[in-house]
Amino acid sequence: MSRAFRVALVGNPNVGKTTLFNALTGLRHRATNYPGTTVETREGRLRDAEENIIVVDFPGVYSLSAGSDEERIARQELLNSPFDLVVQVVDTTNAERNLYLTTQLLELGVPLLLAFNMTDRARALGLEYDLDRISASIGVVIVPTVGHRGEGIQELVAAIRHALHSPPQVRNPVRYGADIDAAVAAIEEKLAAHGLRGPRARWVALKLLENDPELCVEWEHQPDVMEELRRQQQRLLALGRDTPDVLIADRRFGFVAGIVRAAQRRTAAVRRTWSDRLDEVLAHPLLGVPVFLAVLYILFWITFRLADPPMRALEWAFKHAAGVVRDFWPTSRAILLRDLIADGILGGVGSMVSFLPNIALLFAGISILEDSGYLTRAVLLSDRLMQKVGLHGRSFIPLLIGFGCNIPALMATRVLESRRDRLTTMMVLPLIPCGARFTVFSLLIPAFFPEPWRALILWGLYVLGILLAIGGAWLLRHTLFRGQPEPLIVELPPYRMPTLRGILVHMWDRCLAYLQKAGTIILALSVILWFLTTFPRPAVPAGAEAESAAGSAPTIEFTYAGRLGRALEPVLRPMGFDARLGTAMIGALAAREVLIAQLGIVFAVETDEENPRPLRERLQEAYSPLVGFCLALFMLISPSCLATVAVMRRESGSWKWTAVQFAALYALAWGVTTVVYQIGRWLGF
Amino acid sequence: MTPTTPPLHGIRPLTDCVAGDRVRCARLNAGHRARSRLTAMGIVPGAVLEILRQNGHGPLLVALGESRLALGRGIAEKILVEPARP
Repeated sequence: MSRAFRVALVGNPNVGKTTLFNALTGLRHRATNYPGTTVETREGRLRDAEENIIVVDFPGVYSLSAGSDEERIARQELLNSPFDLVVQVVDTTNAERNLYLTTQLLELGVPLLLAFNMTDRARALGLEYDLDRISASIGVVIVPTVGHRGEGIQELVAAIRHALHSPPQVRNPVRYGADIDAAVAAIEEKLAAHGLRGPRARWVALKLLENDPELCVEWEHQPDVMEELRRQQQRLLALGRDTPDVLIADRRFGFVAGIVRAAQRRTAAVRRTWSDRLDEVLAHPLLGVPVFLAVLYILFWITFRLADPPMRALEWAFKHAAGVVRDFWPTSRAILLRDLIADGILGGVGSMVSFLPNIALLFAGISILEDSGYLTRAVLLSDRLMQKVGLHGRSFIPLLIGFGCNIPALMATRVLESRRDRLTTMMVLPLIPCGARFTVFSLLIPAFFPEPWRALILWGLYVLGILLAIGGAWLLRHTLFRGQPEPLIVELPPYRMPTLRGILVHMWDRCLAYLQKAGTIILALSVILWFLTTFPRPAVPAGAEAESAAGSAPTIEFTYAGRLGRALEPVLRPMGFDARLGTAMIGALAAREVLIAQLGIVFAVETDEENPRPLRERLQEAYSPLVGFCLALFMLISPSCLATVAVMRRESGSWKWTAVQFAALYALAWGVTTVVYQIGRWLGF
Repeated sequence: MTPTTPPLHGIRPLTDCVAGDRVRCARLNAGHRARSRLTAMGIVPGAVLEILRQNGHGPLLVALGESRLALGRGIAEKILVEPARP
């Protein structure tokens, strides 16, 4: 078989690139991360082609100036990876700005093909172009498409195949004027002394002249190049018009504007009035707020309430399956294997799969918000508030989802573009009190506190969690993730109707990524945890083993978890906890709500969520209200569950940050709880 | 590196405009990073902007050709504009 061709799909944000990618590849694609980054890409095989042609979807970028993570990665990939062809998707309604990126691709010297997308919308706006004329001016083949209706896809596939077999000649048609040309030539000459020649040398010279931060660092140890660069920049500055980077950008735009104007046949001047009119309300700093809050409420409702019945059904199914395994286990031997399957594996798979409804519905919601264009308006409304604590406007979605569950919330940080913003949000997310913590609070608070105080204490715990998250974000922004806040420049795309296909593909991608990457870690951790809370087992007469297998009585004290709980006692003491609570908390790493079952096991009480009274009474006998409060506090701050750890690993792409977060949360939880306990004791509680 | 050209007559920051103004971008008084983001979005000297919303606080909303851009006040202050001749 012949080798695979690689085709890069690039373009500005909001040009319908993803829709076109889906149309080109169908569902035969997979999500992958760029090496060593959280920026995700998707690649898939081109349909309707005998050749093996891999299409790689790039993040949306406005330029190749290395101004953002996305731009830097897009550029690196184009420079370093062997792409046989680059297809740029152009929003026909905004041809001028889109063709600016085209000039940069031409400067880079990559074999290029243009897809003029959304030609239907352009026509509706009264914009028509002589595409042959544009094509002739820039020397690149252009195919008109309407991605969401599948128009022009066959032609695009044919053009891609043709271009792969007879690669297009690339030349840079932009004229920068004599001053810049002279400067570029002078720098090129110095670069030639370092063995860099041809189009690549010209590109590097142009970028150096623009003061491109990455290339300037790359060449800063070449005094001859840097000296020539400074001299040329000074010369251009002395002409008094502008800085070289603005001059060059101006020339690119001048070139593009000339082409577009010559090829434009504007039939009628129709402005995007209805979209503008909607923005008078939706993007208004006051009028937009009620809509914004309503949209957030609906997103939350969809993710958690609508997902609740399928989630319960899945949980029930796995519990039932475990029961079936127990009941129909053929022999009285190999009981351990039975328990491993019923408790360890089925329990683990069950807890992993039960998050799927949340994730699927959350990403359906996010997909609708993104595709309709509303998300950028929401960012506009929340940006000022979020900026105050050092977070990006888009962080509000993951933070809100965090009140339901941290796992979909961590995945929702994908809406953030810069890695710094994403990591900051991910690091503080576990401090947002999730739904499972609520379950724990609703057992602990009534057990230790009389009625008038309960609501207040619950409220206090929530407020504390939120304040810690805000404080954490502020602290991270002033220490580890220091840096200038991103200037707010947001394009507001026109409102559009999201397509069902787009939503479904997005959901499918996310669920698959979750199961493949995070799911396997969750499963492995569940089995390890099962092992820790099961082994070693106390010596029991052979006949009694069957009855004790369900984990009755404090057999847990014999296990590794029990031993670990006792070993940790010196650390637990300052918080007012004993080994029993320590053991229960180790078990509760599987999930917060398991704490209740674990406490039940430790205290050998028959209990469940529906009937918490006996356990409450035992807790009341054993501990003071202060200890009860401290336990709730510790549960609030410490790492929520192993599934969160797994998803953090997957989403941050780094074990390092996952470990830092895990350790920091335990340290914070220990510190806060110890202080509260010691002060409480001193005050005589 | 900031441009050292002297101030010209009639030039003011974008934040001094009111809704409905049509202005021409004269100069970008911003650092390299912000400048490269602005130019990539099409805000270059010579570009004509129409101010759609500007109410003294919060981001500005401007029209640039067919695109609509929201600009934070910090960045808008660094865009120097002059009246656009019709």
